[in-house]
Amino acid sequence: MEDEPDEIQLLEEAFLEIEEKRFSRGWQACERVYAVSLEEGLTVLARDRFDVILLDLSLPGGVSLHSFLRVHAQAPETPIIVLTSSEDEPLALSLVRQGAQDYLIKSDLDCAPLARVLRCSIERNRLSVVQQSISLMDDLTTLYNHRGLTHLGERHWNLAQQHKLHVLVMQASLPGLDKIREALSMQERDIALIEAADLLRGAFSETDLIARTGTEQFTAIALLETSAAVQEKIHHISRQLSGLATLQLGWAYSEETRLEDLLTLAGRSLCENRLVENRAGCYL
Amino acid sequence: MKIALDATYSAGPNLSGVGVYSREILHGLAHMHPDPGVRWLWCYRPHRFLKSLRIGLPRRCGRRLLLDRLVPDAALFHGLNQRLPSTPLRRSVTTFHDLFVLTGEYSSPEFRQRFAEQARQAAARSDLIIAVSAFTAGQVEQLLGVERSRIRVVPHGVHPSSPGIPEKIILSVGALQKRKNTIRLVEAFERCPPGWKLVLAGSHGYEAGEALSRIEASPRRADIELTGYVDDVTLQGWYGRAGIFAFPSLDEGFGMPVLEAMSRGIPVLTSNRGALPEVSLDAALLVDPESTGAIADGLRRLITDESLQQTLRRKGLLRAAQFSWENAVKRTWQVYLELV
Repeated sequence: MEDEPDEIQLLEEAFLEIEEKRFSRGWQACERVYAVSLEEGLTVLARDRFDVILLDLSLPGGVSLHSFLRVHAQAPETPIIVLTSSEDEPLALSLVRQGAQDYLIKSDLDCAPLARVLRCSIERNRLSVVQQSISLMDDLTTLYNHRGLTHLGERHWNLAQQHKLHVLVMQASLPGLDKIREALSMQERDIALIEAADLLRGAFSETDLIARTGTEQFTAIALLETSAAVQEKIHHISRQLSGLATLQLGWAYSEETRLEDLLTLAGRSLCENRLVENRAGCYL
Repeated sequence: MKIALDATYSAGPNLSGVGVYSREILHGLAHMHPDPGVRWLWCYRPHRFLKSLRIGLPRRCGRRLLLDRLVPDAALFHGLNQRLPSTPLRRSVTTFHDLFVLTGEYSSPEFRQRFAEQARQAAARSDLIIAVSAFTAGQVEQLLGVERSRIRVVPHGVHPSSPGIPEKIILSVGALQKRKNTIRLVEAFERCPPGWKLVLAGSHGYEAGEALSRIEASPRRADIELTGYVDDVTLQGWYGRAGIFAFPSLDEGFGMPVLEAMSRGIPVLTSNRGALPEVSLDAALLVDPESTGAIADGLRRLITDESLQQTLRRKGLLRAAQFSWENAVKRTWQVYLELV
């Protein structure tokens, strides 16, 4: 993302030199896309995925920190290398602290440092994404954990807002785990949790977000186009899970309230199911 | 506000399932709703009134004699065993446990006739009906013509208890009678490998003589123990020793012993009739109770298949954890709140 034609020329020459010299072993020719303003850059990022972003801090339409934060929010898993002048080096350093992978001083731009910074940034970022995804998973069930739900739930929510989708939240509990540990073993308790996770995985679709959010608690988030589809989904999942002596369910859905409110409502529904939702004769 | 309950079946020794239910609801309501604005009237019919004097009453509870034509004045009357006094009541709730008196010949014709009439009267006059299972709710709707909108399902509970140390014992709890399918259970047990013992814990029910004769004639008689009625402590002792719980009833409105066994981590074999599939779900091995072969096969599978045993133990503990008397009491209170 660079607006100065001279700078773009310079970068292009550096890339060509890297490719001609095969500067480092394993270097692959890369496709480069230039955006000359912040808005254009954000549009391109919304459309395509990139391996790395080179970001000039003095882009039209943005002011340094602001530009970086917007680009980072648009492509949180793509490494960003900041292009800056030597006077702004302290700012570039502070952006590294905010999540940029590295920075390059424009006046020092050459093929060798550019190649090294690009490759190191991509590798460091790949590692960091893997580590982050591991910490978002529940080791036992391999569903997302509470952190994963918070992290990815927000994205689901934003997507729903953008596309005017209904958000369906399910809370499920698995009471009796302590009894299993006490009466049988810790291993049997774990088997019960894995079985419950598999049941949920089978009942929901791959695009839904399912997480183990507590010792005996699961949460799932699904996005649906109409309220009729929401009802159908609730019916479908309840039918899939009925007849199994495992999970108690609570539901909430909306296209308006906040995600936290929906989670709370679904939790309340779970409790109330045990107490009042009995007219249909179903107390699972 | 006064709320009166028919506490008759909670008094006296040898409490049946209805008796346990009555005791849990009476004490649970009194303890969980210490609202000084509510006064509970525990009403006993004459044949149990004297026995009830041995029962200590919680605070804000009063004891009353209950006659068909003499009912304490109360905002609400709750008949805990599918009958109501004939006197007009301000508001009323009746609990239905089962309708065997209409569907089976598990008691004398006179008994069936009398209790069927009481059930019809109670169903017609109650403002709301509590059914202990969806199965019973369906029967109340179909056999007594009660609209679904007047029925609420409030399942029984179970108290948390500790796991035992299993021995080679097949335990069955319930009165010796046709409905409990005692004879087929004994015949199925005879096909089980030696080394196992069958313990039948329960009083002698309707036409128990036939079952007793069959037991006496059994080639495995030495391996069958008849305990008669046992008090709660003794019963818990048997649950603690059981390796398998067998409950192949021909019909049940709920099936409380199944939950008791599950809560103790005992693998359960039960029948696919009445409310038992609804209570057990997939946490028990369900068999056709009219097939001795199916019961025997089920017992042998449970004896030999350790993986199945472990799965049923695990699922049973989870299933039992979904029921509690606390929930039953809260749901009952919510039914009252719809009327008062």
